[in-house]
Amino acid sequence: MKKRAVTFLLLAAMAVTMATGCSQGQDSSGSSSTASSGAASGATDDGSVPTITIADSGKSSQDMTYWPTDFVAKMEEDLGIKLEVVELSSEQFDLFLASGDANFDIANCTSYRESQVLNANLAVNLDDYLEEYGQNIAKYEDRNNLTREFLSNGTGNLYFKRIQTGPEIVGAESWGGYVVRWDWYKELGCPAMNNDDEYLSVLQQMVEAHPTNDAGGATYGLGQYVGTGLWSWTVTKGMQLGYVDLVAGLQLDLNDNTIHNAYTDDEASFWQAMEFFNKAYNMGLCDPDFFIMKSDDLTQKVVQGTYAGAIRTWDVADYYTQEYAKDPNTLKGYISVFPEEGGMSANYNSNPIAGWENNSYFVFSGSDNIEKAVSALDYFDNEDNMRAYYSGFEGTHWEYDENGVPHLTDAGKELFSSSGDAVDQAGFLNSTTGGWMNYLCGSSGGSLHSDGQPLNLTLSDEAISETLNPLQKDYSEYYGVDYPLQVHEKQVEEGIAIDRSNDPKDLYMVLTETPEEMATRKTQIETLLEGYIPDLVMAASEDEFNSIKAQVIEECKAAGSDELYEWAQGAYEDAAAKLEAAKEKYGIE
Amino acid sequence: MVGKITASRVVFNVINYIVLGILAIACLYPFWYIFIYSLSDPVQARSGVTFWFKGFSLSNFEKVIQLNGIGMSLFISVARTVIGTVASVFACSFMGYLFSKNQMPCRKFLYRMLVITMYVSGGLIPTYLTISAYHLTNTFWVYILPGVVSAYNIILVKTFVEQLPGSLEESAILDGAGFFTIYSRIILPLSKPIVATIATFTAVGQWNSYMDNYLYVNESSLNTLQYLLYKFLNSTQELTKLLQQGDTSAIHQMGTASQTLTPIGVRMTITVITVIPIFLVYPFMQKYFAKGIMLGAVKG
Amino acid sequence: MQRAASHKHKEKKDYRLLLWVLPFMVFVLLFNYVPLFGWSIAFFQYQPGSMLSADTFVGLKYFQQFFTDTIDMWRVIKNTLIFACLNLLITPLPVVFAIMLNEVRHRSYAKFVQSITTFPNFISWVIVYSLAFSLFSTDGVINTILMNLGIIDRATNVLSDADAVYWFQMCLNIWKSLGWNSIVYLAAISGISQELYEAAAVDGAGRFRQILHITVPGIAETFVVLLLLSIGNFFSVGFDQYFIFQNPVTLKNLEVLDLYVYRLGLVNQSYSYSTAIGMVKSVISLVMIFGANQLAKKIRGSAII
Repeated sequence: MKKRAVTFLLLAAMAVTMATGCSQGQDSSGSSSTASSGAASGATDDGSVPTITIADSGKSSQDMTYWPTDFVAKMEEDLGIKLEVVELSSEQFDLFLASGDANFDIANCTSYRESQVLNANLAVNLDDYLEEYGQNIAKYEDRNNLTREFLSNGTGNLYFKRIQTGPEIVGAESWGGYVVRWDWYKELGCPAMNNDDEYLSVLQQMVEAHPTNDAGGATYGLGQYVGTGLWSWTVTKGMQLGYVDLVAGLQLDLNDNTIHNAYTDDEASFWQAMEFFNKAYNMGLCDPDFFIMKSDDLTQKVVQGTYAGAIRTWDVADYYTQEYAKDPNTLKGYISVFPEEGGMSANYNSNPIAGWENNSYFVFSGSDNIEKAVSALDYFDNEDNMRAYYSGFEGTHWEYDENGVPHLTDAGKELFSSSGDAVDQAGFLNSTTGGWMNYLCGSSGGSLHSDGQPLNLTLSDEAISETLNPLQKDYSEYYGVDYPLQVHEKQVEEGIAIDRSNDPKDLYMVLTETPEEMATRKTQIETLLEGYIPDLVMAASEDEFNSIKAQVIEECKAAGSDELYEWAQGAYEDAAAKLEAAKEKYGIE
Repeated sequence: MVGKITASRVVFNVINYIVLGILAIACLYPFWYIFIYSLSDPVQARSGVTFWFKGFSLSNFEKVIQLNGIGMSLFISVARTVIGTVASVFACSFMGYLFSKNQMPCRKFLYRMLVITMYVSGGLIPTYLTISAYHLTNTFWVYILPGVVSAYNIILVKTFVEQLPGSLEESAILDGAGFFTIYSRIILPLSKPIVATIATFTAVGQWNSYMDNYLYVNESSLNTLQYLLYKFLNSTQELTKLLQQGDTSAIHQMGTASQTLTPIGVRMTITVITVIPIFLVYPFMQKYFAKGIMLGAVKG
Repeated sequence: MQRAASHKHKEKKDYRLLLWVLPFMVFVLLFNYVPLFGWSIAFFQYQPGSMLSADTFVGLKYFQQFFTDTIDMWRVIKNTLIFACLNLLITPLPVVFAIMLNEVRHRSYAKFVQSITTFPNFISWVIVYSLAFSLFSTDGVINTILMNLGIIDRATNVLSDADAVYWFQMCLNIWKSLGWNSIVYLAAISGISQELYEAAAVDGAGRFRQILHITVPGIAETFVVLLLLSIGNFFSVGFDQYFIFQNPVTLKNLEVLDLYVYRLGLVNQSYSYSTAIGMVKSVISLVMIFGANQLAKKIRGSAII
């Protein structure tokens, strides 16, 4: 019997191999074509070319058809290395912390675990290598000083490279305003929407004018997806109002730099959002599946043209992509409209000195090639290399004119306004293969190169207006601007709206960890709030809404929201003072 | 007995066939749905499929086939399934038999020690540190050794063996045969149904497993198929996930990234790829554990 | 039966058996018991990366936190108990299904049904959700059919119905596990000697009596053993299913213990807290399983484990 069982299992194995055997054959041919396109990949076994492995938190594509991309091939050649990327999830990062076992040279420390990395002696002191291998890293003095101050467990050494310092520029449009289906909105004559009520009434008119969607089903004003806790409910309101969720339970109002309790204060984005959704619900504008859709389910309805508006532009982006493929001049798509009277905040122009929160790259102290790893980090702090990453290669994708001003070439414009194989083979910012690498860049694309132009040339006013899609063009023509976001930028100039220029992003590195007890409290309160969302949204009258609200706030308080806020306030003030002191100490503006 | 077909029996049969049929349809339609979804054009399928393909396309499968190292991972997956199943089925069936013997000293203690393992776990980090201390990380054996002894399977075998008539075994003992001989000559052949059952459970478990690969192995030549598929799925979900977390860079990328694959389409494809080999092997196993239903016609 | 017989005449201990089984038990020790050293982190404020000696010893703080969490605990325990009871309620179904399959005369039909009903076991809960959405959502297939037939005039939605959630999840559970779980019972039926049926048929026993007197007793032992094991899993009702089907409406009803551990332990990276809850769960499981075993011993005269 045993013998027969073994025979049988072997047979089974053969059957499996045969069933999927064809894939094996195709795979080998696929990989050989990849090898021929890559410049440095042939040198794998050559001992003189070390492999530098970057651990990224799953953002890179697993599709290796285009690896190494043109950009990576150039980098490998410049540094004399072979670059590999492995995935490192949060769980795997914890295992790495606990065991010190690693299969990478460079990793990104997220979720505020810098002190844990340092406690376990897993990061290389970059200061020892800056002179020889990190001259470009060293140029970011302010960033490095703040990192030395706050992310070194008090040693004053530089262990982490922070990324994306400098102004954050979003390009042609912003997502935070009142999102409308543009062609329907135009039919109504683009009525002004200066507050939630006017927005909802516009949505209602659109739904009345277009009661059926492309598939013959009903249309609705808004669709929502769940599964993200409070986030999908509050994010847009928080953005419109100009709030930042700085510490657990605390929101900072960028309009006047005041803080408030994110769970119990009336002005909190949660309560503002609930009021908005309650109104929308009572006007019959919410999809009946409002509380059960996951993002895939929402997309399923979006591509049928079900909605007159949207909570975020990217929820509905697939509809335009689909319609654009059918008709390149279509206006069937969504775009955000800002109140004519201003007053709304939008997501651009934040300007962190020490870069994005929650991203700190370090070189693993057990790496066999520490020098090369430092060089690899340094590579992305070099302005020419970043220019190449954001804007393509000089001479091919962009070039200097006679006045020494860089411009995208036609080839560059085409590459950066399209997608597909060519883009993915190139591996720049706009590709699925290389998009994640902006997490390595020391400066944002909006930062200036020493030639006076942004690193990302596609972000210059000229380039933006040249790459607008027909919908964006139509919108810009209607409002008399060069590109849609300019509507808001003008309001900021007039002083009637705000951008994110005073978003205190650097505070995050000072705040670091939330104590366990407070994190628990936050989770409990947020779960509590989430459970009341349906009751609040579906409350039939203002009285009912207010009575539920009073009850919920009471429950929040019972769950310790006041204590949480008290702690958060202390943490915030403490961090702000520390940051101020550090800035003074290092002479940072 | 052939002639004794009563009215109640006919009613029973009709109801039985219908209920089973409904169950089968309830399980078949999802399979069909997943199958046509995976073979539809990913972008068109977003609006949902019903009974037929929406823009027949192999692009989901093409992307999977192009995954780096898929040939090797297929080999590893087959190897771990075969070796893991043979090792575990041998260990569990033999132990199940041994534990059915009252003459074993400390039997109760050892058996309970085994049962307890089903309800305790050291947790993620301690388990990792243990495996690492045995130098099993980044080896093929980490797929095999931790799962060789499965309490659940042993309990199943023991329960089955205890139901067997004891007379055959007793005569063998009188002949002076050892326990291993009795196991391999008498018990194993009689236990085909349960052995086939635990073999099915183990093989499916091995074939579908990716957590051990994910946690303990980062040597790419040892990656399993399921892990590659898992990673692939993750990378297609990442943009959506980043957006859900409000990641600014993802919002920037949104306009330009090509959406040729959808997470749900990739999921459907992975399900199909996972299930087809199982269903190819399944009938061989079914022959043994469902011997009862095979004999149904004879008995009636 | 045979088992009870062999129970009576206690044979003398045979140490060769121990020799055979011990090598295997080494595996159990190495892979199941050694990692339990990790339970020590429940008594410290542990963070990956630091040595335990450097962590703050907090004693029973995390256990206390668990038992005094008045905000969530009552709800979590209630939900877990409800799902655990529902799960126990459906344990006989795979037995019934196996017997029904066994009564089918056309073997190809039986084989087909058997194979196809195992399929849902391989579908991940994420896909199950997406299937459920396309069937049960407001403009899903079911609502469309019911409304066209005039059975209902307003679309109902079971996915966002907090009252139906327990039954709905139970039905999904049945659908997903029925075929797969019946495999064990089919194997048990296959182990029943054919002679018993033949003898019964000679005695003039009809199909129903054969089921009642041969098939059912033949698989009873397997059923009892598996029931006992599932009693041990009383508080581990699962994670994925409830996680995926959770939405703001069903949130309060779907929050089970495993989800709670995920939310307050794993998401907040509190390994100590999740370990403490895991330990509590293990202890409860063992108490329940050995308690049930004692009960079985009293009732049937022989212990199960």
